Amino acid sequence: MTLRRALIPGCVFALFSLETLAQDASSTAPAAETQTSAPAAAPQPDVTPSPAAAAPAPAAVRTVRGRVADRLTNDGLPLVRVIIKGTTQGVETELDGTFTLPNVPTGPVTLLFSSQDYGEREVRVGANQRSVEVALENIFSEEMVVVGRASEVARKNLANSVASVNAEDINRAPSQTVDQALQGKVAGANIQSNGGAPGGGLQMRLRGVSTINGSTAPLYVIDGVLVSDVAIASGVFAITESVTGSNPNATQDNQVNRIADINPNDIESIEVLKGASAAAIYGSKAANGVVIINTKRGRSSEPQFDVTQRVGMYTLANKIGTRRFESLEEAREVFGEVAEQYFVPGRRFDHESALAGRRDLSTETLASVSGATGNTKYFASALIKNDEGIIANTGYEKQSFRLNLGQKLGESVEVNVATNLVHTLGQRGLTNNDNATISNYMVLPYAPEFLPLEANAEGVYPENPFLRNRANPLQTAALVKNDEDVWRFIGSGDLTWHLWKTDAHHLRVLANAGVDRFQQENTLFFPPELNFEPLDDGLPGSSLFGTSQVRNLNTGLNLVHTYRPASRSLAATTSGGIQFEERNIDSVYIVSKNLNAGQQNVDSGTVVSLRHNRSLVRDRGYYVQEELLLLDERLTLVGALRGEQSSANGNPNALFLYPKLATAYRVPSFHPKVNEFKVRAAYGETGNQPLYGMKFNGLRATGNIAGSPGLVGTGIAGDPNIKPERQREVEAGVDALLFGGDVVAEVSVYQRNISDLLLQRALAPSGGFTTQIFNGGALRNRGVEAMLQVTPLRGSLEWTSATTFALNRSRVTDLPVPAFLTGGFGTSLGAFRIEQGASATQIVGNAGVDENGNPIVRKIGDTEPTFRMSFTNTLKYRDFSLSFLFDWQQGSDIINLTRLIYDGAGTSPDFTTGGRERLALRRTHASAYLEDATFLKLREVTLMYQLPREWVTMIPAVKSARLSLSGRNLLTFTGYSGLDPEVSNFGNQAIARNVDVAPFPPSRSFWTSLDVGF
Amino acid sequence: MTIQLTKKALVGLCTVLGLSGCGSMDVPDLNNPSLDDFRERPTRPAVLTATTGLLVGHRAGVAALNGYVAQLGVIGREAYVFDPADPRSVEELLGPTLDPGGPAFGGNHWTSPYLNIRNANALLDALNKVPNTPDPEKEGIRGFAKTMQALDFLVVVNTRDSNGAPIDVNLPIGELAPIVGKDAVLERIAALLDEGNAHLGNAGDAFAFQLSPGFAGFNTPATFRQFNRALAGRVAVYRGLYPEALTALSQSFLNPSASLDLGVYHSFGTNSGDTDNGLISVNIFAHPSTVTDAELQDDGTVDDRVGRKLVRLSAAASAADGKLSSQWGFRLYTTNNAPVPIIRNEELILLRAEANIGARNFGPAADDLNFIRTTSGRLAPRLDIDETNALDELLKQKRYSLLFEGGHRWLDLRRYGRLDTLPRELDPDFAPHERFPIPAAEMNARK
Repeated sequence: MTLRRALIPGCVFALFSLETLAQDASSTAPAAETQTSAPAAAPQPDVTPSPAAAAPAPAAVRTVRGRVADRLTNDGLPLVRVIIKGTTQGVETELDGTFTLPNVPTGPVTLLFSSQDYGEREVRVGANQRSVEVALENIFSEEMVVVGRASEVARKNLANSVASVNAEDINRAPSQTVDQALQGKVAGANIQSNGGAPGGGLQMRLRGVSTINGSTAPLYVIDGVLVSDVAIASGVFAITESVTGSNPNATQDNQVNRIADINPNDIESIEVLKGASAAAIYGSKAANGVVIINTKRGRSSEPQFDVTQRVGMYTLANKIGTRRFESLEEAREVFGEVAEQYFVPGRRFDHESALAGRRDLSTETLASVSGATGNTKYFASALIKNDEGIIANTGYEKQSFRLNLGQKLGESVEVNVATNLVHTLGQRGLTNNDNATISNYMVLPYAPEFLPLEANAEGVYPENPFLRNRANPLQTAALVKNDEDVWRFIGSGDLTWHLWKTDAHHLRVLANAGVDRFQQENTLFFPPELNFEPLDDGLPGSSLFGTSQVRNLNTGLNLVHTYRPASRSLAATTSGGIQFEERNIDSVYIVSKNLNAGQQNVDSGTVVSLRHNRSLVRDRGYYVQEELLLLDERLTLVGALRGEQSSANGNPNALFLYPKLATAYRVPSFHPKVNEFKVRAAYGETGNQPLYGMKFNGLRATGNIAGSPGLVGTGIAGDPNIKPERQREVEAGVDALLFGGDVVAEVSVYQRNISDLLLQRALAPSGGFTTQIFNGGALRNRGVEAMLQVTPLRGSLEWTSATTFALNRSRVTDLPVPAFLTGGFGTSLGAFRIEQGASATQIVGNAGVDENGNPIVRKIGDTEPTFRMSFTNTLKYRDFSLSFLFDWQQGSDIINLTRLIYDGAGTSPDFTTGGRERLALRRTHASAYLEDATFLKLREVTLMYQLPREWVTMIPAVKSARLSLSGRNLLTFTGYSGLDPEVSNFGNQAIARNVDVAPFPPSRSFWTSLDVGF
Repeated sequence: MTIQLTKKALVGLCTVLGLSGCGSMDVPDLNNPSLDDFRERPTRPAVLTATTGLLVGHRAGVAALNGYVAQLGVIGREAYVFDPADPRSVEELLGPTLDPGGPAFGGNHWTSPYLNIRNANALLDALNKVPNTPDPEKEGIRGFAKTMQALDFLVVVNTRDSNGAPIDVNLPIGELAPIVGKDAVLERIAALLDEGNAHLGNAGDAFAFQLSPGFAGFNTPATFRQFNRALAGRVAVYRGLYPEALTALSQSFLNPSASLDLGVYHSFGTNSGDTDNGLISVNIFAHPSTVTDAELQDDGTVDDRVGRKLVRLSAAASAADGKLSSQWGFRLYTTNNAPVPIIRNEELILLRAEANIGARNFGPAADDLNFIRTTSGRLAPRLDIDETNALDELLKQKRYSLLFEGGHRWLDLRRYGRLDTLPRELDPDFAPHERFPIPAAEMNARK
């Protein structure tokens, strides 16, 4: 808290001084107003400036003034080139979009407006006309998209489906994390939260299941740095006993995957490479797709200073409800004679609201400055965010500081540096499965509505008479702390050296280096006053302290050569390079029990246990890539080959090759309404590295008996020849731009075959090993993705609408081992089974008994949705704009064990009408607790009002101001009986999602924001 | 491109290449010592801790809430486990079927002992390669390892009984040993104990490795042999080889004038990396028949063993819709580092009585039984013990003397075909389980 108070003025001061500095510098440097030569390589296919067409006689000239603005937002567009067609004469627009073009002939002329992001537009200016207003549309097809480690291509030439999301779309409604901000915005990306806890914990799955035992995280690349998305357990399982000795993976701790730390407001654009055909150049880390994030850079010459203040709150979005006890007899039937002491007719408590009904004020303050001075471009930002969770002692804080600098060193060298320092504090509360009956929704079923749980005047919480451990959920929420502190530094530097630049040739070296270093500290505290503390193990008070040191390093060197002969008959980009990467995780956990006087320090306990876990992986990669634009840029051909070595493989020196081939053809317009029509096809391969340790045969050296160390076997046989899984993907699609950009459509179909799966074979335990790791088997995904963006209305009322659609089907095509269960709680409750010929995400369960009384196990559901769709709409009228995003999942199933716990306790809201039958049915049919996960969510709503310029400019220094009201996850339409159909007790999982066990309840958030530009 | 530029480019290239060379690609296992190294290039310290490791491995499945003592205790109606988090401790252990697919219940007591049998075999193989270790030390380790292996096999055969078990399991990964019958398993156990005994005879005066405090008094080769022979006596009784049993027991630490608690124990601890005694769980209750079936002392108080081992709780606990209920807890294990017996003097005296009954020496048997009745139970001696009732009396004394120490009641009743005498509170149709099934994981791998 004190840190935050100190940081706010500090960072504001720093930004102001930076701005002053920038202004000083820019006032001495002449503003570049009349540049006509484009920087870098903005495409200008149709305008070939002809020196022959000289300016007419100087006698008849005029000056044309005007403004270029974004068609949707009416924001002025800087740096748009304005050229009199047929000449080289032109200017660039100012920061506010205005321009002044002198010496225009008096006769009718055509002005050509062009910009990298907005494409080109010709505007006819009549004779004697002296002013012009131009609205440009963000032209989808001209946007540059990354296609390699060091090269990019205009979207219209792209041979893959690559989804892009820009800053505007990402930050329309405030989000805590980047993955949350992306929900519903990318066709083929199924992004779902694992629970409602503040501060992240979302899984992004691109194009279905890519592995069974390998890594499930997509590769995140921020400004060229490979950034860690690792999810590290808090260690709470030491108290909740959710993990027993036989299952050392602490997957039920409601972990946060660490991409959550990134400040979404810093992001300029996100590109999602969904499958191997696009991501092959990232090799064996790209099997789950690649998310490329670019942060904001300084652009205009004048410093732009923006401040945003947001105020909002989180509220409980959904409750399970509880059984209504109408009479003492009813209560006694469930809870026995002891219920008599507590049952008072007509007295009822709403424990869920008491637990999760907090509505404290949340705030977010953002400040940024960007600009350019001389040869330096800069962007700096600060974020201070404090979200209060709906349960006591939960919430999310984030402080982020970023400085991005770009510097030109002479004519041929550019250097960019990006630095980001983030601190996040996730207060996660006590949720998910536990075997100690202490987490919120494990205890609530045993807290009937007639039982008082509130603390008395002295702050003493009553014991729960219906649980042997006496746990009171209100007390647990009030006293237990589960804090996750992360300090993170992400720094990257890249250097571009233009070695050779002529009209036809451009040879450049790109070198980059990056570091992602963070420390995650988990401090969990269970004070001895807790009702359950002395009873669970006889050791009152527990304190946990975990620290994980994570360090990712990567360096790369790329050589890129572009050849564009004067004839423009082709453009060829050849690139090649090498990369080195290192990923290091070092985690230490301390669990201390029987705390002296309830002191939290871990040295105050008498029973202390430690765990230490390390991993280190080093990779080397090499690649070559060729991109060819032929036939007047109508035909794109891309070929690439990546070779990779990794220390995680059995043989660290073995080179694994990942090829890629792609082509696209822009069909010449066959109808005046068809502006662009492209067919494309691509093939590519990626891998999924073995996890660290899969190649080793180890002994466990952590055990001892009364102080004497004892070395024992692990029971797991590693594979010294383990190698990466291999994914082969074929993708084909059609893109079209119709009606002058009013309709944009993309359709892709794909098939991904994944072979050499990282599998675990169950061995006969009598041999002394239980599992053996090996490569084998194969699975397949097939799917369709579509995107349609239309602008049905233009004029004073503008309406744009975007729809995405995706469906995926998986199948295990080859399995060299017998069908096996992977995740879940066994077939009596529903479990996931990998089985040849079946969907990889099928849920199997007991379905009756055979003639011998043995359970029959068969498929009862599948977590794969029938399809996913989303609808984004923006309506704009004058200075108002309204946007909303609906996210729809059709199909998919959930194993709802929270409902089982309520039924088991006899307190589910429909216990008398449905719960009893469910309990009876479950003895033979696991489907009793399987539910449909179809939902339609109103993810985002934003109503924005651009304050009139004449008002805001009355305030000194203010250039623009915008007021908005927004909300996230405001409405959910679903038939699911649980808290939220987005749920995963086991966190991010390759297969075993959609298991609902006492999750953190979901929340809605409401925000009021004021954005001010200086 | 000028030469100057080319030079610069080369310098840049070399810098990056140099950076990329900054770490070796050969990253070792940072978390665990290598099993391959232990097999190929064992060191003396590793061999010594691997020897102690056999105690850690053997203890793994003993004192958990779903461990050997608790589960065999429940099936033998010595105890109840009412675990709110897992109804299988009632529904499965007292229900109609032990499910071989559940590793914590029907499939239990298999993986863990076999893992430790593999540990012992790896250790015995490593002994042939380890340097700097004198032969007597090696013999001591061999004697110890084979004794521990016998104990692990005993867990397997006690739970699987006539289902049998594989014994020639020191094979490369993936190769399967055939499942042999119960008698062959017991024969192997006896052979391991005999071989261990022979090794211990050549083991010098002291062990090179550390034993747990549970071996106090039995931590030299000479005294450890008495423990080895005690186990041999138990196994001989199980095999019905009574003269051999009496011989073995005579070489054991059986001593009527010593404490009945003299013996060898599993040790537990709460230090990091140690295992605590889960039998202190509040979810474990004594079976009420333990109290109702007990004899009374002359002064009308109940059998002293009941008084010593059980405690009356303030309120009764119940499960399964009230069909099971108990107001008694155990006070055998009061702290989370309380030791659990492996074998102790009281059992040896009773084993001698059992062997004598088997050998039809009813007089000596009656003497030993009355010794236990009077010293352990503070009951009056029975003067009427003869051929007709000696076995009944033996089983009753074993029940109370070895209560909740390792499933003795269930094992003894099964050996004499008397499981039907156990009560069936959950459902009269659910006969007490006779044996655990061979786990599904084992059978699946054999398909």
